[in-house]
Parts: sequence; structure tokens; C-alpha cells
Amino acid sequence: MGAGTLYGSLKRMLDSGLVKESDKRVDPKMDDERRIYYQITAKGKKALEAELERYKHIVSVAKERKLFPNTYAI
Amino acid sequence: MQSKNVFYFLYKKLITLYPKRFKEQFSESMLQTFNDLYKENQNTNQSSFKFITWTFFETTIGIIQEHLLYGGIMQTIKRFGLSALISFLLILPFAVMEIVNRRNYNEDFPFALFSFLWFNLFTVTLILLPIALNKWIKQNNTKSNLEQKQTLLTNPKSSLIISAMLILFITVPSLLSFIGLIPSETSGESIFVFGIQVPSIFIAFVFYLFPIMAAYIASTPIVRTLQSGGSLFAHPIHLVIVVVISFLFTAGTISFIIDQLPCFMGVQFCD
Repeated sequence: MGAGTLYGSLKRMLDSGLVKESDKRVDPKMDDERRIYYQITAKGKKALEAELERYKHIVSVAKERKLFPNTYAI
Repeated sequence: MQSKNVFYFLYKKLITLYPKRFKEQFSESMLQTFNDLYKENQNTNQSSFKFITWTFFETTIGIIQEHLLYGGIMQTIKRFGLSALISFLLILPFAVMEIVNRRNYNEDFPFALFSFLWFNLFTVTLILLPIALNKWIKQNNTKSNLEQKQTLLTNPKSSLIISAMLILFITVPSLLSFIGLIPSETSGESIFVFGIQVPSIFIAFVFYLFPIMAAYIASTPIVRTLQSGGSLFAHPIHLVIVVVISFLFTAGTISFIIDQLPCFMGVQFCD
């Protein structure tokens, strides 16, 4: 992923309240004072859970219908 | 090192093409990311050409996307499109009544009448919809807290001046005409708009647009304030302009519908 896609996605996540800027610094030795850290919000966690649940459902449907390459129905 | 500086300079210039808000928020981080990725690329001895071409291409796509999909252009298209659709749905029952009830009279469908109705409702929706939507969005706690750049139309003071000038441009000749200071010739096919006699339908339409533009411009700071979490009553004079003009257009449209109701109901020689 390039910077154009990355920051475009980040902007939309910030606008939707899925992530927010964080004050936490990971490792002071590695840190650069210009670096901005972001952290997931409660709303973001809920959205992530819902998205993972959606993926889980898609996988279960694919399994049910034997759509995996090595389980094609004959 | 020299080539790095050239690419850095070009990338910096490319980023300036992003919408203003995006640029203010992310340009420094994007430059920093570019720097980091460039260094990483140099350390792994991979082709600089491939990296530079891909980065510039990908960022250009991002710039176009920000302008088209999420910038002001798309918001304006959405605002106009939604208003057009709502007004179409509002006149649809009357159009259906007209078609069903008057199909036996061998008359053409009155496109001019319905265009006029649609346009009136479209303008009222166009002015009020963003206010209503942003008020609703605010109540649902999904407001945007980002700082918004002021323009001539969004600045409360300048928008009020422009709006007031547009209103005066139409009300002064209208009042002068009403008290008889502007003589009007009633012979021939006279076109009157807000009591002012105009020589052509095009000029009448332009005159008709003035109060609409006034209300639209007055509504812009209200919408901006609501978007940034402010109160609906933060700009009371703007709100009065919006409410009065919207009310006049709505009242005009409703009285026009009531007047034409016998025609919609299928009464012959109703006009």
C-alpha cells in the first residue's frame, strides 16, 4: 500500500471515528517527534468485529457450498 | 543523494494538489512516509525507477479520488442529485393523478406546469436538505470536528452581504414597481416576475434565481456551523433569510397545487 491509499483510508477512518490520534509512544529510542500514532476507538473495535463476523460468515458459506479449490463438488 | 532531493521536491509539489483540508492534515506525514520508503528502497538495492513510478502514480490516483469522491465536487453533485430526486418523488403523485384522471381529454401532458412545480420544490429542498441532514447527523453524534477553511461563500459576514445584495436586487425594483415608480406596459405578451416586467422568459428566469441564490448562500454558513458541531441558531439573520425565502417558495408551490388540483382530479376545462 502506497502513501496515497494509506492516508486516504486513514482520513476516512478518522472522519468516521474508527481511529484517533494517540499520545502513546511505542519506543522512545525509535521515536521521531514528528511521527503521529493512531489508535483504534471503541467504535472502530465494533466495526472491526462486525467486519470479521462478515468474513467468518462468507467463509462458512464458501465451506458449506464446497467452494474451496480442493473441495469442489463433483 | 541529488536524485533523492529532486524526487522529494517533486513529491512535495505533487502533494500540493490534494484538497486543502487533506493537505493540511497529512502532507507532512506523507512526505515523511515517502522519505522512509525511499531510504528503505535504497537500502534494499531495488530499482528506484519502479518505486518512484509506482509512488507517483499511486499518489496521483489518491489526489483524483480525494477530489472526485470525497471532495466538494461530489458533495455538490450528491446535494443536487438528492434534492432533484426528492422533488421528483413529491410531484410524482400529482403527475400520476394527471395522467390517470385526464387521459380521456386528448390533451398533452403539461410538462411546463410540472417542470415549474418540480423546480420550485427542488430549490426549497436544495436549501433546506443540507440543514436538515446536518442537524440530524449532529443529533446522532457523528459530527466532524475538523477545522473547516472559510471561503467567500462560507464566511458568515461575506455570505450575508452577498445574500442581502441579491435580495435587494430583486426587492427594490419590485417595490418601486408596486408603488408605481416603474411604469409597466401591459400590452402584448408581458412577463412579470415578482411584480417586475421583464422583456424575455430568460430574464424572468434569471430574476427568479436571485432569491434562490440568496437563500442558498445564506444557508452555507449554517450548514458549516452544524457540520462543526455548532448550533442551528448561530447565524440568526442567515436563518431568517433561509426560512422566509423557503416559506415563500413552499407557500407559492402549495397554493399553485391547490389551484391546479381540479385539473389533477380530472375536471374538464379546469384552467
